[in-house]
Amino acid sequence: MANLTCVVMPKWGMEMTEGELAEWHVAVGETVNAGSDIVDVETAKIVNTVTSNDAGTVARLCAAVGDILPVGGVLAVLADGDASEDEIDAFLAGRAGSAAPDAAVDPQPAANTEPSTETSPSSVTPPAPPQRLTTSLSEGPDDSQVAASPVARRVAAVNGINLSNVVGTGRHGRVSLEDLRQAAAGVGAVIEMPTPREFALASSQDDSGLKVTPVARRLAASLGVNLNDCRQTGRHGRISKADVEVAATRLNLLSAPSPGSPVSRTKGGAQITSQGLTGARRAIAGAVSKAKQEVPHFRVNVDVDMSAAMSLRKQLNNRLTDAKVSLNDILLKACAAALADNPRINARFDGETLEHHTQVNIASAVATDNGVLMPVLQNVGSMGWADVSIAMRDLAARAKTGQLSADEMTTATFSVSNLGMFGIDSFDAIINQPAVTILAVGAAQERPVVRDGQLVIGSVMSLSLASDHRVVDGADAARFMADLRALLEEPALMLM
Amino acid sequence: MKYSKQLLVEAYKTMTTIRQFEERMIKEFMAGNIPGFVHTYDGQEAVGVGVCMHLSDEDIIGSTHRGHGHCIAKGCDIELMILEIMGKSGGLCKGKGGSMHIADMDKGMLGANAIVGGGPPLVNGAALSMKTLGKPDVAVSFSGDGSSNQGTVMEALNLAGVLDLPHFFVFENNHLAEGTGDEYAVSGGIAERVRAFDIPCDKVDGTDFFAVYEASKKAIKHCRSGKGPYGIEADVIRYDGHFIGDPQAYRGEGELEYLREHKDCLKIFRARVTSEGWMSDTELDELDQHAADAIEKGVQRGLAAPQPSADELYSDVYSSY
Amino acid sequence: MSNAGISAGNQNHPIKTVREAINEALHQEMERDPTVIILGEEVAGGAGCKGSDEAYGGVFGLTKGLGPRFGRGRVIDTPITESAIIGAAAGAANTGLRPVAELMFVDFIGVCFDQIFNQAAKFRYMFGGKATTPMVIRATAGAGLRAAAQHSSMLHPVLTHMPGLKVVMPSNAYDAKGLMIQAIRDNDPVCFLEHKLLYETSCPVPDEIYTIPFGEAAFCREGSDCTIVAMGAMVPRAILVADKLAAEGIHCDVIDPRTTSPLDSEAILESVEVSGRLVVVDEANPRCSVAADISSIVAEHAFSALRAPIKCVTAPHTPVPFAPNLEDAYMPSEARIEQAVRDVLGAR
Repeated sequence: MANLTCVVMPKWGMEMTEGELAEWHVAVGETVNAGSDIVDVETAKIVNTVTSNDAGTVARLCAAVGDILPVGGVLAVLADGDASEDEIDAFLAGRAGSAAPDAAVDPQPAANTEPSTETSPSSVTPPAPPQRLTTSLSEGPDDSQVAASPVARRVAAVNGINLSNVVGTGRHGRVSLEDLRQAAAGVGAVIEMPTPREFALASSQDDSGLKVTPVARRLAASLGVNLNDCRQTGRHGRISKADVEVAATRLNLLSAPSPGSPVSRTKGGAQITSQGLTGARRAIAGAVSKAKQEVPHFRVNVDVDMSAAMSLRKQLNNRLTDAKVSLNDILLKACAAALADNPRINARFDGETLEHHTQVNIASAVATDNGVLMPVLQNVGSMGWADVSIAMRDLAARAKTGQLSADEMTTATFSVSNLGMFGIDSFDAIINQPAVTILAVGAAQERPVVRDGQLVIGSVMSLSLASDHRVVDGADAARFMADLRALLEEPALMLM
Repeated sequence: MKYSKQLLVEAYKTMTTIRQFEERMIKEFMAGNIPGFVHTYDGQEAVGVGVCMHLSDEDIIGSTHRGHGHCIAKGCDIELMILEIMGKSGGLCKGKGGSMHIADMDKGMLGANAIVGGGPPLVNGAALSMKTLGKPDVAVSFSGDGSSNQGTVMEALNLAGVLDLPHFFVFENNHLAEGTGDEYAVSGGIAERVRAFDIPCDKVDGTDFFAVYEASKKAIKHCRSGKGPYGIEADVIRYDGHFIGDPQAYRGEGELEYLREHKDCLKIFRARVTSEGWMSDTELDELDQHAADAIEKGVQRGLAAPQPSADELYSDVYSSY
Repeated sequence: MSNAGISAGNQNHPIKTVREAINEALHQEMERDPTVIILGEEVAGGAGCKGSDEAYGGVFGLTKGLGPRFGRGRVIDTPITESAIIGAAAGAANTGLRPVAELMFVDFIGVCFDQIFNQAAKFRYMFGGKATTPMVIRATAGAGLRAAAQHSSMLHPVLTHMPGLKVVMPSNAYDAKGLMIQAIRDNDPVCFLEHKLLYETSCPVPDEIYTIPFGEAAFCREGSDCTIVAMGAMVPRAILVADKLAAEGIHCDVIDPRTTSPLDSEAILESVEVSGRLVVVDEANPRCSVAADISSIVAEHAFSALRAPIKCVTAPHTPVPFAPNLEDAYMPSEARIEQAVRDVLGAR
């Protein structure tokens, strides 16, 4: 009798509750090793590959491409020898009876023996997330003479697709949008469409001739509503007070002036330009609002004399040929060393479960066109100086072009936000959940410091650690900051 | 002998083919083997044949909704015509035109035309091509007393006269426009109308093949020589109703019997050639039989033929789209 | 190549008006192909009169110079009998010529429509693919010259409705030349509608012979915020609106289908798939119109992409009025187009 194991729908990130199967990498009968790619899964945020935890032979694929399975749902069954269909059925039935299926809150694999076809009509499939195509489709000669529809050419450019690689089946043989989709699907990818923008436009045309009740006209004037934006549901087709209120709500003129349009209007001689939120910006807004409202922040500040760290940096850069270490890289290494001694700071908390990690994964704030992102440098403690520098640059570059993997977005155990390059002395940061702390880093500036009883000019950097008071206490934060300061002021300690 | 034997045989063979073809189509229609509706040419054979005997495949004719006879006279394959009229695959127009829209460009048959008065403006175009390209060909339009009232026909006469086009206007006056008589519906005379455009026009007995043949010979010679258009008004009869099943309530007492007895162009032809000693009844009977056999063969083929394939619905709308 | 819009003519090419571009296309094709003929009312002009041999060269001067150059045998003045003109063109097309018939005003299809839609358009289909009818019907169309109800219609919806016909509506001189040459070489009957207001508009146009394939829309402006489809004289108006909005940071695709039959629905659908918003601008009357057709195609095939109700900016459902203020109000204005775009951007 064969020993059977499951490959289940993983939980990537705390918000993931289900995933859609995108593409199988294995077939029944194939031998896989631990770590082998099993299947691509799409979530609302990312596409990633599920790998096998065990070695064995694929005995059954339990779901089809396009199916949506909850976290913990069984994707495939592996066997270490021959397994009959009955054996597999019995194994799956056994699992179904034993585990609680509440995948949304239970990070443990939950049983779900059969893929439910009812949950997977294509109409409810979450939209595929953008994935950049750094595949063979990118290569090729100048494609400016390839016949393509203007929209297909535009979308190809966004996705880095060279049109020479796409077979045109559109009108008169030109490359159509659909052709791009097919070509991308051919290499297992999905094309990224430009994100539509949200508008809530206000009219600027003269509205003095419109039929409107006196009350409505006064209200419109006081709210800054152009009457052209109002319906006319009042008596004899007049614009009523209610019509003005509806328009004002739609144009966000009643509440605080937030999400607006990228359109200018003039009020009292001043020009007001309002901007709607993009999807990414909206996500950031949601995350920081949630963190600010939910997490009881407290802060611990220290000033650190960076003179020793700066001379270390100079020495390193004199030696290194393939990298250029920044002060921030040294800071990250110091954080990793300090965190190794302060496991209560190197942690994740989702409001229910607190995880303390031995591996240090540091998220760094990176400004992108779509707003700040927090890409994660993994296992910083195991990296050399140059490795940190190279990896951080790569991470930042890929963050700016939207090429981060799920792990690189979601596995932070600690976060850093550095505004030193702007010459900022010090500031407060909002915690990047589910990490429990964030370090706000100011600029290293020449300031008077007392060293060996003497007043000298030192290079001083202000650090502020914000902590989630639900799981981190003042003493925890203070110990960590003291350790961090010591490591930066005497970098040789990092070698110990 | 004024006419060659070959010509006489050809003329009679074509006329009897048309007659029997139409009679057979009526039978097949009533048997439910022909969709839609059919307008038959029987009774008018001498006109179509008398005109078309002078034409080659390079010459063009434009026909009417009553066009089977013109098609046969111009040389269209009768089996392919039957397939077309039955709406079958392999028909002259792939089964997509039917009785009223038979065309065969290879034979210079520009098409039957189901719009009364639709043809003459188009035939002007064919004549314009001949003139522009310097060809000695002639274009012939067939019209009836009904279409002689259409503005399009008047416009076509005018333009043909203005441009001196090699257009032979043939008006077949069968005295019935559907169910309305020409005495009522045509104010003035047809030939007189044509002449008013400064186009010569002769009146001819359309039941007499030889009269039509001679008049056409003169007209076509005129057209081919670059002298511009010419017309004839042929006085003919129509045996059948406007459509098959038409009770012909507009006919007078004994009118049809009189026509069949005295105005039948085949009978008139037979009497002439036998009395002149040009052909014998036996020869003519043989031609009748040949025609009957050919039509029988065509009908059997038509009945057995498959319908057009479903994708024919979508093809032939454009040359390219 | 696919983007041969208003800017397609290289700036090094000479500037020509729509009138000059079409005239040049006719000259070049008549020179190249002896089977190309012109016929219509006063295409030379003055026939049967004592004055000039070329009194008009077309009432709008589109065929000027052709008569003296190619002779009255190929540039044929006809009586004012539209059925005779179109019939002769169709019959000639069936028998070896490539006629370009001038209908003067598209409103006159009323007196010759049988020859267009029952004859020319249907030959190929009725005759099982045996007939080819390579003819062009040139007609002036559109309002704006105070020509009133019977000389100002935009009838492309009527013609587009007819299977067998192709319908071309150039919006600029570059397209006009390339589309006219394509129309003459095309083997199907083509209705070529020239808007009165565009005749004197100009842009760089190559002296060389070139064709623009039918059924390929031009993207006159590009942007992902809104799709504006405009035809004929509405194209320059849509472009002005798009440029104004671009200054505000709102970027629109301005799509000129160039031919309404065949219609490049693919280009429109793709654009809407990106923008999610559609404004169709058409000078024709709104009911059963090309604007309505495009709206229906998008609603049918790209419904899930739509983020706002489709807006059509068209003439009202009235004949074209005579009084200048009324006619101006009849035609879709830039203000109306702009308002429609703003409406779909901030859909209520």
